[in-house]
Amino acid sequence: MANNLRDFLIDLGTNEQTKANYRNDPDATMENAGLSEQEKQWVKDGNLDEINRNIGEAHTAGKWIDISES
Amino acid sequence: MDKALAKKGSLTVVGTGIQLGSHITQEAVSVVKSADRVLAVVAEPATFEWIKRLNPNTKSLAILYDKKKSRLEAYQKMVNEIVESVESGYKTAAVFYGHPGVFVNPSHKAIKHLKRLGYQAKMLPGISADACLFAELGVDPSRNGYQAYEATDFLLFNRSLDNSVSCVIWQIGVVGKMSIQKVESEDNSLKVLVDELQKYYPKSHEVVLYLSTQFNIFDSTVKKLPLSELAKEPIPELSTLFIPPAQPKRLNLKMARKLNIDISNFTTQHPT
Repeated sequence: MANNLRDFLIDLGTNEQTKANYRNDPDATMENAGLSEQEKQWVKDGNLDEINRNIGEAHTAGKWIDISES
Repeated sequence: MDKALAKKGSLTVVGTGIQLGSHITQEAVSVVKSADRVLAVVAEPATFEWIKRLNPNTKSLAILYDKKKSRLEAYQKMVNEIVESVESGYKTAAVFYGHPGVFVNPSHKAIKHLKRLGYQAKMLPGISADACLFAELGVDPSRNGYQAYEATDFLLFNRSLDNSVSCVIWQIGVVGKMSIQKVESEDNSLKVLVDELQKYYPKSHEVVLYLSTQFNIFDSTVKKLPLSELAKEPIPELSTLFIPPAQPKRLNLKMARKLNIDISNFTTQHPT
């Protein structure tokens, strides 16, 4: 399923040109990536809670080990 | 099942590192791309989607977690799924967040089990949270040594500390919490940990709460505070505590003579 915010974060992490573009002009880079105004604000605020809630299904798990077996 | 195919199954375990895209090694990317099947446990959805783009035959193992059950049960299910994939003859990549052998139960278990069965199984190193901590906090673990404990383990198993050695306390954000939740009782685990640490360090000793960023456009969280204030601090689940040495290391002159080491050029030792 398309998700501009998720795709933007992937691109930033894997594409050196996008990283450079973001450093030079974050607003234009986010605009080109198709982020909504709300998404842009989350990124500007560093709001990881909202970002993680809105970038797709959480097929994830925090890395927390149960020590009872050790 | 085709017997010839079944013999070809193998496992390579890799880590994504902490930061999406930036920390994964070229070798790990190659392993993911060339695998018949990829089984993944990662920290957030963007990384999972990225792994799927590298190899569309990617499945999440994180769906095996069940909050009502022990994490140990989930780990065993993960091991079973990894082993089954290899036994079915597939070149299997198992992908974990960070370093795949640090705070990961199923990776080591799956490799040991498969090796016993005669399959090729190995792990490649990845970037873990302490590697990020060393880089961002300017810590060289070789200078003053390095001791590291999981927070609850430190408390439950009577671990001791050398306060002239750099110290990392892992999983401080979930200290005292086992996967089968404790019943009732107000959680004072963090205070218990701080009280225990104050047996080794002065209350005023500066410690560092550290959380490495997962996305390269955000800064990591680095919060310095006196040990005495730690119990009042809200601590994100994935945080790590770094405690710098509280006293300098002491030179053992007898040992220097035994080793025939000339100490005349040694600089004064002090904590970094």
